[in-house]
Amino acid sequence: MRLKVVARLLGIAALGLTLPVAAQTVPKSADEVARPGGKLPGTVNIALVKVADGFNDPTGVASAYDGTGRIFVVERVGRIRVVDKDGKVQEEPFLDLTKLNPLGSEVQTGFVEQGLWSVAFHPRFRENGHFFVHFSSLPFNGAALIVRFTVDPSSPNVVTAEQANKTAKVIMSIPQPYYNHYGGGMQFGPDGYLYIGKGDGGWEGDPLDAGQRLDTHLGKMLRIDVNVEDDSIPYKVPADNPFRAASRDQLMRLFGVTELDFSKIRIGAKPEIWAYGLRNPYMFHFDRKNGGLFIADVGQNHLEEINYQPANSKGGENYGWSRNMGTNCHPMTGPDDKCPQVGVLPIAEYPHEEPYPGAQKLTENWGCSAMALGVANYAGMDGVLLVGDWCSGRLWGVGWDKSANKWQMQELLHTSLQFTAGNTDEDGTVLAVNCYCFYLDDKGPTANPPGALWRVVAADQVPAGAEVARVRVR
Amino acid sequence: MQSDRSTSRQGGAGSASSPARPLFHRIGAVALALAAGLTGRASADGIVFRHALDNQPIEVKPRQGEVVTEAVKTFLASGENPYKGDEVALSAGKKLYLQWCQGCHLPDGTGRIGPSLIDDTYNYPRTNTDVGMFEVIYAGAGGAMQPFGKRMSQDDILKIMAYVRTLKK
Repeated sequence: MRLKVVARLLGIAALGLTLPVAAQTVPKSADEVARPGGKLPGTVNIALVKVADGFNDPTGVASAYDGTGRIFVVERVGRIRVVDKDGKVQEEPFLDLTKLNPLGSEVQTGFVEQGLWSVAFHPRFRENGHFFVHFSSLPFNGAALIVRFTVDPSSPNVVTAEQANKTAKVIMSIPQPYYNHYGGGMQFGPDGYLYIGKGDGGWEGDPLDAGQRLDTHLGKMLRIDVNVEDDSIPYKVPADNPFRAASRDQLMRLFGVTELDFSKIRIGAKPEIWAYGLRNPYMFHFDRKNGGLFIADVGQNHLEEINYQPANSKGGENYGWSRNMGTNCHPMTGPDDKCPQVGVLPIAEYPHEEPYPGAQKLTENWGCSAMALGVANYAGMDGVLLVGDWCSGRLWGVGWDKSANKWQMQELLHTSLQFTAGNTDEDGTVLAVNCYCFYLDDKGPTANPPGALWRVVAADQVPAGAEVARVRVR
Repeated sequence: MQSDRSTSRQGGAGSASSPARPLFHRIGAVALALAAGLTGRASADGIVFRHALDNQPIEVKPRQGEVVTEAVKTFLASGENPYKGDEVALSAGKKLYLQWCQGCHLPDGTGRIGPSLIDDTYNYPRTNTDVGMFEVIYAGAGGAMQPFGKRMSQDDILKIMAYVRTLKK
């Protein structure tokens, strides 16, 4: 459990103290789910300050947490760019997956949801130089690849094609049935394991029923142990993964076995699964303060949902897709649909412009694609997940209100930005990237107007002369 | 929120392609508009275009190599779209709409991940005017409503605008 790891990291056990259990609880009923219009505790006034721009379809951002202050911006085409602590963008990419193979790029970018999505640096990156990337592969016909590379210490800012080819270790290759809903995010948890967000494989409506099936990696959060130096073994399955042994061969016993034990036999279940019932969990983040995990699951026609696992989660949560989207039924036919609520409720949700088929269109408090940017523990925010919406440009904060004993969701800004991703910097500052990417008439990942990297700061901490994101004035 | 039906973008504040203007110029624009009886007519000097989110002046200028058509010149000076009702322009506008807009707003303009374009109420009320619709398309608004002035000519924007008006029955 992540909670034990957090306690160990903080040295609390050694001091004979007990770590206070996070106050946050997961809603048990639909009326406990936060929706736009709430109010975070305290007063939160933030601004987005531009750090750098000129990125081709930025789809991810990460820090190496190695003390250098570098920020790594992921470009969909297959490149990772380095931004130094002063905001200067290095001309030569940190990694260029388009140049590893003379036959062509490693990366399939034919559809706007395809490309390089994320980079995650090993928790001991400073010692071992390992980092991991997640992308759709051109040679493997669009399959999602997770590959580990290793930095040459003598060239910390550029992984040459030679070095990349020499050190590449494929961790996972996950076939993709359709060209959308890949997921793509990756994060190391406080337990040191690599968490991977996988979408339901695409089309719409989850035609493969991937979300509820346990025999596919699609529609899941995966959790693997990459601390395997033997290159013939890509990874290990953590011993406490919820379905680690659910599909193991065993003798059949019909008597003297409890129903609970029978229910744990799940033939074909993938041992890497940490949680399921997800549609497209592109961006997710751990609260580095308490180990909690926030997952933004991009919804279909009517609703977006934000899920939360406390640090003491044992995994195995079912977030309901495609039986539900948030607290909605799926498929949704109208305002009065009745259906069972499958699995675990989200902590927050927000509607699309049309909250249900035929509904009057909303003019406020709507979006269409939830991007979890990062967890803020500054600027008056305590464990607040910042959620940027790709469609509307709204930036919401989702946080626990101790006095009201419930989650709150507050619109903090309505920006001009088309958010694609976020992460935290070494000092815990939330970063965001925006693209001008587009579903229609896509001419490729380098043809769009360039996107930018932003830093979320307290509004009264905007440096003099800094460019801030345009926001709606009310 | 500041008024979306901004009188200050009407009136004699100088060229439409001017950068953000000093405050006294904007005050002057308001004064001229008031003097004109809030008729909404642009002065001969052109129109101050403003961003839909914060109402701040925006710079309207041709892209590199873009030909500024007579229709654009007329629009920038008067705020009226010369392509309104022009069958040739509407046909071109429809093609452009289907190329750039239908993904979010649907072919009939009812909207899906982007707002409806045929409702009685626009997300940004300024969209009811041609100047306001141009501002939203050219300079963008929130999120995926990108500044399409980065992607297409002002002339194409006018053609799209003319076509979008026909969707609203």
